Amino acid sequence: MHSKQVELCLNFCCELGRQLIRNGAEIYRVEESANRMLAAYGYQEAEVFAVPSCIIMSIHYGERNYTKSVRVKTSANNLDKLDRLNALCRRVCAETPEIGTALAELKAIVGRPAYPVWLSYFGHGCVAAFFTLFWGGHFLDAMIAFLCGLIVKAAVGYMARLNANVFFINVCASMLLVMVPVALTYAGCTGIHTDKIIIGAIMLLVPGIAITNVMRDVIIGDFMTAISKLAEVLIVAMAIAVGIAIPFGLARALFGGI
Amino acid sequence: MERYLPCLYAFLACAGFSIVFEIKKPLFIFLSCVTGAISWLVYLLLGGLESEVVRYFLATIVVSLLSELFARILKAPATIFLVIGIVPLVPGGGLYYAMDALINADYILFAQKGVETAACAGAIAAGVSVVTSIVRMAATKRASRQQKP
Repeated sequence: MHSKQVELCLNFCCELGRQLIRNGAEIYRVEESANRMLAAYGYQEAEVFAVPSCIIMSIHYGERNYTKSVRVKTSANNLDKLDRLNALCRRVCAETPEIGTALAELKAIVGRPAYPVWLSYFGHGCVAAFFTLFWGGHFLDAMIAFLCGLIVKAAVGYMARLNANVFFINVCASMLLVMVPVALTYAGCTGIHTDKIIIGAIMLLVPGIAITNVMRDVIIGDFMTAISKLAEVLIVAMAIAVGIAIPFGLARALFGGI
Repeated sequence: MERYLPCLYAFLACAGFSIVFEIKKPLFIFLSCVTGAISWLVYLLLGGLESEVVRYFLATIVVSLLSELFARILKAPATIFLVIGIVPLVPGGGLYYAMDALINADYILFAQKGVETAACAGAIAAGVSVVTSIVRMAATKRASRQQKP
């Protein structure tokens, strides 16, 4: 009977940890949360090890060892879910409810609907448009940047569904968004600030969550996580840079400089 | 007044980011946008300083402190406010101008812009680390005090 309980608890903690990582939590938060929850349920001899792609938990209870490892694949970066998962974790530690109840709540959080698609597109457009204004672009630039934002969202969404890798997604998305102002310039539109538009729209691709979490994981001393996340940040930055370079280079090669 | 208009744009852009990152609670959205606007306000107010890096560093410290404060009050992960609030400081412009110089085969400008961008990114990282370290030390101290009877 006891072993069943232990395994249920292990399953719950692993799933919560996986969802925390997927929705943009720092890795130390995952390890700490899992440790606290296991302790709250009375498993003092527990070890949790997490990296961005995997979690391993083991409990020594009674005469036996119980271990479970889960692989974390995609990340969704949903800060609303992150907040709710964190709140659930706090409540579990404080009240130690039945695992069944806690699991049901976890499933409810995971199943929460995202923003409707049109609003998400609108949000992407707004980020690009307002950052263009922020960097000193004019109203017309902001309008074009809004369009670029929509393109980024469409490209990233489409390629993510096809399981493209992070590098390729970012190269293509930044290439597509740079093409718009470059094409307009070559088509004879004067008075648009190509640089401001591109900088504004690029903000959408900058891996903000990864950058902030890298630092927070370094502080805790989790260098393995920090290095793998840092690699992700650098690869994305490189991909963006390549994506910017391609349309400019092509345009210059085909039509000459302006 | 014109000078501070970017703060408003930063606020609105951060509102867009709140949607992109699926923040749902209106209070959280508002506070992360405020953090974003303040980050740029601090940067502008420090205009007297000559060094860009120091400006970025100090602005990041203010943003991180605000995020940790909101996190403590609202019992939410500080990441939520930090991720959104720090975005206006991200040197996207530097990355672009560095690439532009590279395409134009202007390697001196490329090196200059590249190093500048890297230094600003480093300043932001250092700012976040300093605040996070101090907050964690304070939390550990408080926890150990509570354990003693």
